[in-house]
Amino acid sequence: MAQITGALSAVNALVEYSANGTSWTDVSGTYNKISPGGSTRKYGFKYTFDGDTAIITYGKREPIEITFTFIYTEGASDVYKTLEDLHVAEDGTAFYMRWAPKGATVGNFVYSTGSCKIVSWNRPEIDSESADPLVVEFTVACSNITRSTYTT
Amino acid sequence: MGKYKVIDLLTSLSTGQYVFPGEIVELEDNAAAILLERGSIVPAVAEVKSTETKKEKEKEKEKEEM
Repeated sequence: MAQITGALSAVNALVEYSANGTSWTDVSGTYNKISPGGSTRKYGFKYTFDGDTAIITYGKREPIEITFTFIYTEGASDVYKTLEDLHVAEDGTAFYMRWAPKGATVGNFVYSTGSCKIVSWNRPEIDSESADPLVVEFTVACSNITRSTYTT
Repeated sequence: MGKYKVIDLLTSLSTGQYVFPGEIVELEDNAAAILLERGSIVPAVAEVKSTETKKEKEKEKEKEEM
């Protein structure tokens, strides 16, 4: 089989945030990393006295955790304050995230969380021996990641 | 510009909203060419024609059988 030619890096990736799932804000200039957790399906198994392998049955797909990393800044409308306010609000406030690994061009895939809330929020780690920009990591839980294709 | 039937779930760059499979969209030729190649859309007119042709053939068969 010939070697594939469509490989890509995340150099042109797009990340967008929305408070309502309708109007989206490009936050690619703040975000540093997106780590979608595994999409797993529940399953069960039992053994019987006869045979050497398990009897296996399958259930439904489990929720997915996605970890985002972004650059820490302290502006009043910057990502850090916006998201921390959503997280500490009573019951937590839902929001939406989506990203396109190849960028916002027709034909490229877009991955969307749907409505989700932060389930793990971290304050920035500070290290006197590091010269790196401070970053913050948080995790959201969502029922599914929907893949769609960009059109005009 | 042409009309196309959506096959894959699409996200509109202009509105940011989903365009669901089965919907008819109007696209410029450049965008349509990319999405056609991916199989994300099919020409709306061609599909209607093929459906009509199928129905016509079925009717002809029924007539022959009778």
